[in-house]
Amino acid sequence: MTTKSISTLLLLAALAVLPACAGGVDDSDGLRSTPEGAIDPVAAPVEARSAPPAATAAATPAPAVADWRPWVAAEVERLRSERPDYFDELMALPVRPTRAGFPRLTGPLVRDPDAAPILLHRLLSRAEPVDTRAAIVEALPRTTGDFSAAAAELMALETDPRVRELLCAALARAQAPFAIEGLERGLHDSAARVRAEALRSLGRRTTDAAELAPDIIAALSDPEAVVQQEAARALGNLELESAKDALVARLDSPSADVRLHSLRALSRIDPEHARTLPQLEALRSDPDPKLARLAEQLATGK
Amino acid sequence: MAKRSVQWLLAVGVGAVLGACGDDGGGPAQDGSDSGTDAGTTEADASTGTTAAADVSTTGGTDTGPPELEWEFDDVYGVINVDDDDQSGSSDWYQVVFDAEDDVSVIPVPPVPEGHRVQLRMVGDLENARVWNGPQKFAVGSGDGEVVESYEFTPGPEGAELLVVFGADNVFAGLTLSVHDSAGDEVARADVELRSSPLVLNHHLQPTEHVWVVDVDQSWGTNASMVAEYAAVLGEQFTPVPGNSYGNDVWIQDEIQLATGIGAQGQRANTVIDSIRNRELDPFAEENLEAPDFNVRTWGNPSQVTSWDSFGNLENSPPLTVDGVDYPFGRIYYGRQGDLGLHAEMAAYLQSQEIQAPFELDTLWLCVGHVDEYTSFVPDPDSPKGFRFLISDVPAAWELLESLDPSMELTRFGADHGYDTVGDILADPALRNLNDDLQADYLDPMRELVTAEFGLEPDDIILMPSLFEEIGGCGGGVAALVPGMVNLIVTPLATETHLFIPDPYFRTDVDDQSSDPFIQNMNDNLPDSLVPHYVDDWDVYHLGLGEVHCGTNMTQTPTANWWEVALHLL
Repeated sequence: MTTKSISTLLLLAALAVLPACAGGVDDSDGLRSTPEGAIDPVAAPVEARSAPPAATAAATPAPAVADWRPWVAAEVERLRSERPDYFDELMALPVRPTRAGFPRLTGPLVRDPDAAPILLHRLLSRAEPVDTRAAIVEALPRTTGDFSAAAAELMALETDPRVRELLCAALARAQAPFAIEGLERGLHDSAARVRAEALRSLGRRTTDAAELAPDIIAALSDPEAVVQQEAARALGNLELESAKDALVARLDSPSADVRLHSLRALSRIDPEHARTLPQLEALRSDPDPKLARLAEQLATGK
Repeated sequence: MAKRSVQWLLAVGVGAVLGACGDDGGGPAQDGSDSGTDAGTTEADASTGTTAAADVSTTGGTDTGPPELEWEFDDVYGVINVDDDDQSGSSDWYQVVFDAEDDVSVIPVPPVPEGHRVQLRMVGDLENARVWNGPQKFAVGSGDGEVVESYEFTPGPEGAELLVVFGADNVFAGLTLSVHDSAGDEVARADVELRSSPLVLNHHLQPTEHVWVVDVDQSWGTNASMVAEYAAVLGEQFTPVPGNSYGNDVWIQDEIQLATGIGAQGQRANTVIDSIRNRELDPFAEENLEAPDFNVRTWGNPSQVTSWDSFGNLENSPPLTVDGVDYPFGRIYYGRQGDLGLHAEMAAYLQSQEIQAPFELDTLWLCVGHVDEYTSFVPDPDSPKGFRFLISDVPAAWELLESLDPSMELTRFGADHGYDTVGDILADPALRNLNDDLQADYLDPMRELVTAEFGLEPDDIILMPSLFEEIGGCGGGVAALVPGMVNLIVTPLATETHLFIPDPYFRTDVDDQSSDPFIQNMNDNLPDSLVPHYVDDWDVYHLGLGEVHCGTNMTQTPTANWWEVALHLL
């Protein structure tokens, strides 16, 4: 048995013992019960880089694999054999600071469906800093490979809210039903930033996010204004009729952003209804200029 | 007419009370050979202007009548002197005037009749100006631990040279030079303005001197083709900075801001404003730019740094006129709203310079949060103002996309942005809502604001088709979806002005720029005199949430004398 195949078995064993649990626990790193060093990835020098794949990867992801653990293990085995240089380079690919400061994992090596299982393998087999793990997660959609079931399950396993936040962002481009499964976990996360990101992603999934309509509407009553605001935005994108009453109730929120996005959502769901809202008159003189402009526009049709 | 004059200083009593004893404080290398004096009361009767002329016949007299004496002096318009011309490791402001010093201003003083003495009296910002009687004798101003207001000396047979040195930008002080006869009566007097240049930020119409880009070739991307394009166009005016020397920190626009001050006697003080950003490029300014005539300074507390403290968030317009007020050096603008934005200390300093009348824009909606992400200027000799203002515009993008075949494949956008075709973008209601909201909430109000602050007419503005997307983990902040073409570099050279613009790659064949509708639109809207270069910034900059401007910096040549065209702002 080769070292690589032993590693594969260890990875399978590690993945098998990952406990499922709902919600996240803030301020701790890593995956719950992930054995560190279960795999000994081989780092390759950057100089040994293989030719970058053609930058033609399409947005449409590969078919989702439900039983993702053995799939990742098998893909890792295959890629170590068939594309060893590429495998090593991607395992060693450094995150690079964005202009905003937080790191991202980008570039030609990432734009390859084969990158998805390798990045998942890297995520699970190494004890890397939180920002690096977050960057790996954020990069998954850009691979156009399959990560959907993994991301959904990792929402339950990941202990760091920053990584869960980025998992929610990635799930915007994941496949059903896993995307909704993962984002539902995000909606009930203990960290407001994760709940808000889940709502942003749901708002982008206009084809299937309505499955979670009750949860999204309930998020209008979240204790955090940023979550309420993102719930309103998502409901506007989804044009959910059933959200109208709840949105109207948020028009008197102390948060200007919540008022703004609630009114805007109402205008998207039912423009006629929005134009006749009794609250509109008062909102025309709202201290928030954005809201006042929107209210004015709705009231006057200009 | 300047807002303040020497007479104004005298009238409001700015500075210390006249009459304090002269040279007992002493400055660097003061030898005490001349005497301090009790200054008398000064009358505010001299005219202002570039030359201060004396009235030699009305201020006292002697038995023999007033001497034949031409007692007039040019006002002093100098520069800050905090560089290190002798490379001693110490700021020149803290040293005596030495031979290599080239940031002083000279006031030639003619000889006076035998038995006469010259008295100097200084008012205004004495802490940041200093007058030497020759290179070694401190006279008035900022001394050794105290300010000295008056000084008396006798010029030699050849006269004397007063050397004026400034320790700060935009200093304003007044110097009265009076001649006293042997009886102590004043026989001549002249008031001279002492001003140092404000710190002046460059604008896009100034000639390019030298350009820097951090050169990277990493597994996550290379900017080799962009670097090659800069080198081909700029030749020796371009230097690639080795990325491996600076941790591959490519955001050189953000680390430093180049500014200048010039003086009427040919001085030029270059200032590198070194951001508190302090990422891997932090030592770049000290290692590559700091030199005689190049000083490096920082404002703000690094422990309070935010993304807004990067200098892509600090820009300046070309010269313009707003509501009848000329701004010959343009107006500074930066992202700041309420307590959020460019560091308050930096913002306050820029405000204190007055000459470029800064104002604030809202950049809080952007993930990175810089003004260069949605605004810029390009020269246009054929336009009434000499420039065109560029601003991102969502409706222009929708209009452009809707004119295209929806099935048109977007090779670069599939993996990195999730859109395979033009139709995919148009069919995404969430993306449309997001961008329409950005236009309504931010871009329209900002366009209205800059139109007023810059005094623009609709024809002065080029609407740049732009779409944004939310960035995961950025709290809803957005960045350019289509590479932000507004985020460009302008390099006016001797014969042509070249633009370096992010290649939008909004096409199927990535190698065929002529098939790109965004490039075609840009070419159609740009002034004919400009030479555009669409450079590949996709992996190194665009996916790092920046574009070409963010990755470039340059020095530029000052084109106007502030003391001639901008005293009304000071």
